[in-house]
Amino acid sequence: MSKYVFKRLLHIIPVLIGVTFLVFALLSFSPGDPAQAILGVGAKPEELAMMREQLGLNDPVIVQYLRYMGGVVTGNFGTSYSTKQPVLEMIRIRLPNTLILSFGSLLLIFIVAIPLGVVLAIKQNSFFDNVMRVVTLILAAMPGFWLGLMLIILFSVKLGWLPSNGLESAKAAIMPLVCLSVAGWTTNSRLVRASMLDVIRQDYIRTARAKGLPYRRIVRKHALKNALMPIVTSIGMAIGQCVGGSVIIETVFGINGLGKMMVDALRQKDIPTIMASVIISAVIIALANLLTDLSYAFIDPRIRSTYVKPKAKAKATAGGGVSA
Amino acid sequence: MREQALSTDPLLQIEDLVVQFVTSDGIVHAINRLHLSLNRGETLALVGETGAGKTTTALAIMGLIDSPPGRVVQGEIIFDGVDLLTLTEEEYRKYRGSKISMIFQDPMTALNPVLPVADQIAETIANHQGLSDEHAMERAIEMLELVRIPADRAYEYPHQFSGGMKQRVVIAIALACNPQLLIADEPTTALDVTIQAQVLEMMKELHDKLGTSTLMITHDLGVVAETCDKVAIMYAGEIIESGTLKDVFLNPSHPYTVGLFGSIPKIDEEVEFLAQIEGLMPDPVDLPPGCRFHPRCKYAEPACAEQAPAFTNLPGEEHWVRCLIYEGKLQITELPKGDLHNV
Amino acid sequence: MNGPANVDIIAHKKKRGLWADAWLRLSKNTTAVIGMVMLGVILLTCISAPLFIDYEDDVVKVNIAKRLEFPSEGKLLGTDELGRDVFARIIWGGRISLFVGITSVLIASAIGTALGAIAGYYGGKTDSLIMRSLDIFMAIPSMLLMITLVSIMEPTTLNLTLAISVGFIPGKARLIRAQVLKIKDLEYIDAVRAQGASNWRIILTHILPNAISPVISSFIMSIPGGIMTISSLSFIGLGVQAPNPEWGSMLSSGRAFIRDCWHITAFPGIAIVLTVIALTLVGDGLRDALDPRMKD
Repeated sequence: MSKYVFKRLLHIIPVLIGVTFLVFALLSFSPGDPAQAILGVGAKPEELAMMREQLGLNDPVIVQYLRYMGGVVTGNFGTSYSTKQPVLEMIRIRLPNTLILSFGSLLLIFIVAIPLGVVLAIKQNSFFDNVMRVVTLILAAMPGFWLGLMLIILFSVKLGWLPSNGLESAKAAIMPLVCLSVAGWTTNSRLVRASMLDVIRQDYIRTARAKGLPYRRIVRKHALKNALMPIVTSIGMAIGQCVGGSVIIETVFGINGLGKMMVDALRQKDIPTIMASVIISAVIIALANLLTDLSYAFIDPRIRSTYVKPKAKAKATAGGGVSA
Repeated sequence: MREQALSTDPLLQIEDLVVQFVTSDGIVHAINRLHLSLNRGETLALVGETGAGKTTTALAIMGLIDSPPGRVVQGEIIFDGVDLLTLTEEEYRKYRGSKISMIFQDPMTALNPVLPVADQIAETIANHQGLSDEHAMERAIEMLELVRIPADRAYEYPHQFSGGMKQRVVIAIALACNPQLLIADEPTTALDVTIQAQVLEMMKELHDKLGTSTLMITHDLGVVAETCDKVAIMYAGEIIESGTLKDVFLNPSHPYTVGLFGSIPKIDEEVEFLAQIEGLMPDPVDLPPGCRFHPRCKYAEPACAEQAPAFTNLPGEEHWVRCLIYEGKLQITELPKGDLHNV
Repeated sequence: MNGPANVDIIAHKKKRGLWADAWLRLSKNTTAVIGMVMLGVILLTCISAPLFIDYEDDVVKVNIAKRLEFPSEGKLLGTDELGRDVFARIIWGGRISLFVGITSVLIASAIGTALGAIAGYYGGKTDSLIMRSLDIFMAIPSMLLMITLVSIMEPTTLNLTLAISVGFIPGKARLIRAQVLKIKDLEYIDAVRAQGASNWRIILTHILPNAISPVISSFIMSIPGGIMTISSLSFIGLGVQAPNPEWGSMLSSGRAFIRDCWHITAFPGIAIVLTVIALTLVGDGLRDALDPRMKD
């Protein structure tokens, strides 16, 4: 099993290389001159030329790329073109905020969507189910940033209960977390519902009923356990969406996090910062995928068998990812 | 063992059962005034084509008919003195798995893929007999050995077993609490012929050991001949002929029964066409009036479309049939003939 | 059955029957019909906008004297911070959002279908190559990918549309590939091949028509995503540029006035919500209508 984990970790490397090279190459086509950005508007042509030489901008793209990645591997993410600070330092300051938002919303999604979905499946077509169907439809149609603004209007402007900026207090975290989680609540509660309904139709549930087992036990031990697979997939994907979504939410609520850092960097063509953001997100997502795949093995003994028996099943398709 | 009926009153007595399903295409008349009786220690075969209502009957006995869209309109299902149809869901659950067990047709999907097999057996023991988890597990492993699955495989998962072994696990689950009645819905249909023989052999062994009364649902007359004491032939939601194995096989009386037996190819006879009963099972939404079989019956006369046949007793132990021919209401002179001497 | 022509006829007959059947089911589905009506109204209004809204006067002209007015007669939804008619801007913005949303998914579907069909049908190295390349794109969170792509080009509507379509391609390709894999193994494909049909013919006339159903509903269901993406991009300033109206950028510029003039931020958002709801209802309805299996 640990061999498999190791293999997967190794797998991340080519993907990381692919992603970073892609972004680096794309950015090299970007209009605008980094030397200009650093030295400012009044810089003289010779100063610009010298700066360009210093930054290594005259070398071919691939050399620049390798130079950059070499630095990354030793922990040097370069210096921001716009803030002039070491990028690593910028990240260190902002990382906690983004982590709070991302993991906080992930947890919130999990806690709300799964029980809700189970209830909706059990009470299929009831009044509650139908009401939730409409509520879910409307909530899912709201862009996160709009919901954020509306919540601010209601809770900050009109009622004055919650702060609309920053992450200083727990109160301040409420609205951003809710905005980030809403999309996850809507998709996942419906997913859990659908998955449970699917499982309930299976023959082994009929067997469980024929055994005279109590209802609650059937739902928990037989239905839910089997319904978990697509849910795990979805939560795995939610991590990716949280990383992306935090960009918008941080802007709306004025939170100093990695997302905001990246957007500012993109606007200012601050390449080192952009690259650093991309690397961090790619790593987070790759780890999330790995965790998701491992969870599959944990939940479903059929998949576990393909990993644990090394000899004959070494060519298991697991390496390519479980396709949904 | 087969000859001794332990007590005189039947273990299971179904009277006048009517079950319908309300669908967007109309009302499905799945079971139409069914009468069935099973004595203690007996194995009764419920035979019929697909669509006759055999599984619905089994589900009705188990109380597993989903209430919309199904409904039990009338009738009694008397099991060991109690009319099951009067039970609450709570009470019914105490019967399922412990007094009445059911095994289904497809072993490949009948077991929960994420639980080890011993757990699935132990679960029902712990639930009904209140044993501790350890004791329940011990009993579960005993059951596995009873169905000839070695104890060292007890913690493996269903996908690691073959189809025949899975079905044996299913049987172990069903018999774990020593039920009085076992309902087996086509237990060997989904299996290879060789495995079929093994599983049937095992079921016979268990029947002899535990004395469980069995309702064997099947469309395979070979299986019936191998394992059953009595036979009930089902058509369009009702029993049209019933009796001991000997009586029904040697003197099949209902034209449908005769047709069924006649449709089995004889190994030593050469024929040009396979014999078959013409026509199809009637649409349960739109059943023919009078005798349900009359549109396909070569002995049918106009009276058959008007009257529903009553029960007529025939010579033999408990042999009865529902057909106007035997009520003497028809003009025919020659009785339907056919037997299974050569099967 | 003798000759590929007959097999084609049967395949076509099957297809026509399926569409008529699906249409029948769709028209019986009340929520889908509501969605279609909503969508129809929205599309009609946006398409015919030039007839009753003048771009220069209503959408773009700055009128400081009348700025930040609440809804009143003449100005259905009030004016924004530069005195422009919010209602007119919402409708004009809808043209852009819908165009970008629909076109980006259309392009992505076309490219994705081609890639997925080739990958699924030919398998082996081709499949690996295509799928691995797409995996790299999928490894970047879509928002980040969008932002990156957009920031390196001129933010014209066309460029934005292309950038957004890139984000959808991997998903569509995967979808088609899964369908093709399923159909490829069906026996009737072997039968057609045995009668000498070429690979292209097989893909185009036999596999794709059968694979297409989930793609259609996926297409409609992705449009909201496209609209959300362009709105999000505009919200952070990387999408449609001023003075062109776009729902997301209207929200962004209205933010500063949120305390007293909430109407500037509320109404464009409502427009997004209504459009997305309409599309979702239609998409759901289509999926149910095209799926021959019973649901729930």
